[in-house]
Amino acid sequence: MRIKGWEKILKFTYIQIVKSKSFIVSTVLMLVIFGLMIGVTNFLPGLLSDKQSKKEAGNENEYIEVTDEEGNVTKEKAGYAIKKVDIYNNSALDIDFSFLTMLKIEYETKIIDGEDEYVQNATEELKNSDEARAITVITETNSGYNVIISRPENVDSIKNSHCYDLLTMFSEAIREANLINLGVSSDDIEKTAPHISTSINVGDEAVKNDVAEAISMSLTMSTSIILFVLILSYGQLTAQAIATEKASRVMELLLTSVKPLAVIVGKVLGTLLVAFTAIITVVIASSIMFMAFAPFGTLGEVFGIGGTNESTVSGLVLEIGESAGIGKPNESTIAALSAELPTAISGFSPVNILLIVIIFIMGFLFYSLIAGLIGASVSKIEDLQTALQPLVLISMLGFYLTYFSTFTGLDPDKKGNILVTISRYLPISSPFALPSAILAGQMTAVEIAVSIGVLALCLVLFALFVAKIYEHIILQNGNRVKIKDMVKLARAKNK
Amino acid sequence: MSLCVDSIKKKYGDYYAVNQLTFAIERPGVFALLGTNGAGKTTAIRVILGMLAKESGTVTWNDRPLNVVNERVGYLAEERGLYPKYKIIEQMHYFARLKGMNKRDAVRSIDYWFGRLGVDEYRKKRAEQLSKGNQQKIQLAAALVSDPELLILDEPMSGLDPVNTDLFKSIITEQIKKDKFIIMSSHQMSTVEEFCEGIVIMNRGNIVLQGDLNQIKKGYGRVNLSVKADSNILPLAAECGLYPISHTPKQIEFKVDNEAKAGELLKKIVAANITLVRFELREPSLHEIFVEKVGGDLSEAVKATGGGANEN
Repeated sequence: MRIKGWEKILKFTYIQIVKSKSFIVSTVLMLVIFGLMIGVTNFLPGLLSDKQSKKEAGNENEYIEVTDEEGNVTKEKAGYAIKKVDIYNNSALDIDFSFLTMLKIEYETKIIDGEDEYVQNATEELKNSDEARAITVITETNSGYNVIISRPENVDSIKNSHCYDLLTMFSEAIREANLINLGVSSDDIEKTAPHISTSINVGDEAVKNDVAEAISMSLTMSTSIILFVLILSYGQLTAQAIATEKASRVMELLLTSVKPLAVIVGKVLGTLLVAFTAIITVVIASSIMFMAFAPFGTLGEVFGIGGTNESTVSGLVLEIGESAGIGKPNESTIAALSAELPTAISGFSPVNILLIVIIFIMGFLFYSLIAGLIGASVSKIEDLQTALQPLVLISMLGFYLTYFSTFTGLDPDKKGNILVTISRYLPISSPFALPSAILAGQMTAVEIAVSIGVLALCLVLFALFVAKIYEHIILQNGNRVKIKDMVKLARAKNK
Repeated sequence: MSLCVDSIKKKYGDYYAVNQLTFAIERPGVFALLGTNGAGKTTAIRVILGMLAKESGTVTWNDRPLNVVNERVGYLAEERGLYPKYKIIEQMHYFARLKGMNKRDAVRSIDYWFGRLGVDEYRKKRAEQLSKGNQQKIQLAAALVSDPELLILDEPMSGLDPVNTDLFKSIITEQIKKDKFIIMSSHQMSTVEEFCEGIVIMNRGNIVLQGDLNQIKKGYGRVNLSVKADSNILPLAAECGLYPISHTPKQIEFKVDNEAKAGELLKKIVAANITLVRFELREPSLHEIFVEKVGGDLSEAVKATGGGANEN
């Protein structure tokens, strides 16, 4: 076998890189960044919420624990800026206003049918009041009910957003009271508002809704970006390692023990192992941090192992929405996110993860072989960065092809977009495009097999090309070996 | 055992860096591969070791194509190379393991050579922290660690101080006594002369002279005459048709056609009652043979191009 000894080179390469300060520092840095991201996800909403509430309503940001009939404990906002509400209920409904108590809002119900003038006076009086008070007037109309909330002009702590919040709650209370009035039981009321998952079919193919698409795109693009960064950075590490050996003339010593091909095989696989070490370290450490601190609860819950925790997802969305100052998110959005997240992450099945690992390895080998060849083509380490520019350009081209085609590919009208097809079958972009497409379920098994096959074929052909010319250029000093020289060498018949 | 190099050719573009190089080393000892800078020595060594692909020719070791991966071959390259950032001991273990040594043998051999070369104290240092001479010693240790049968030393003593030169020489002597096959490339002709039996002198990829050094010298005959006397002997030499090729305070050098002319000059000096300090008729040195074979060509090349040939 011409590549005898590659495993010793792999071992040495792996140990030396993993021991190096640059690897330790970069891995620790990655862990810190992931830790911060998890920490920020967990604590920032609370901090921002605190700040926002303080700004708007003094110290009205406290939460109280509320226990429902089944003994479930939930957190509820302790109160709003509005301290007191006078309710003028002109409807015939018996409305339950106890939700105000949970919000620590004092209220008084006044039935004043036919005394509009009294209401007008009260509203006029409120207008110039400096109390954190509001007046709610509920009236019946031909088509249903009308709710008006009046607030004082000069009380800065009360914002329109608080009134909108109250309006939503009053509307819900009126809806429930109306249903009870019509003879619907409390249990049945719960059933009247199930989460409705919606989807559109184009032909016989389902199109994901906006929420699912957004989650899916984020996850798949993140996967592509991570693969791109890993393949490019560790590929360059291979080039660096080989160029260093050539420039420092260690290569000549190595070549008395092993064939040149064994050197590049050992280097490329050693660096691949280093990349996996970094990934596994970060994944394990991040998982531990995530499980320990993330507001999602355990990973198992998030990934649907042992059931999806909808309430935690809703809680997170609610908190982030509030903390970001955009008010409470629409309940349907929360429900949709809760419902779609497990679907969106369901792409990370064991088979798909295995496929992604295989594609990552192939993509890594493909780019690392190019990088190794570039590393072998330079005689001075300072020439390496210039020599690597074409590789960076090619990988960027591959990545952006994937990036743009992902967006166009998600548009049902552009399903057959040529960019999408190219990005999935071209070896320079398929390592980045395939994982996204597989996770998003956009490719059939046959398409995946063909794409992987094309990548594998190119990898083998390129490896043969490298094997043919590597030993010719590894000891060639002086000017950088150009591509045309490499092609000439590949064609030459040497013994 | 024998090493046989037969008609190897190596071309860079249209230029033959090595052209029809043929020689054989039939018995243990030192064989010299000589030539000016850019003559093709290092390229020839790389081709022999299989590091570079060749256009044609064969290299056999014990009648089989030489495969350095499977044979015990040690190589001290002209351009020294160690990993600058890695610890010496880790590099040495790596090199030993690549040679197929097991861990125990590797440790034992490294300990021996580090002790023998006096570099034991540097084992935990990084290569970049060592002087050039000490790095060279580490490299020699790396070449010898697997106790190679075939040892190739490319400029082994360049840049060494006299003490370390002697150390290297003693190690080479030891290796000769152990019946090792050694190919040495060097510009230090006195060193080559000290150890070598067979030689090849290359110029621009071609062989200009090869054979057993003693036989080559004998072939030239004793044509170099060195004279030192306490009076001027040049008029007497001129009477014999001898004209100096160099004249220093130390001695006067003549080239003689035959030994009879030297005898004639000696008689004249004695007759003139001049005190002789030195009168030596000897074969040409390797240095002189080398300069004769490639010096003129190099001078022409310098005149023609205004520079030297490229190193390869």
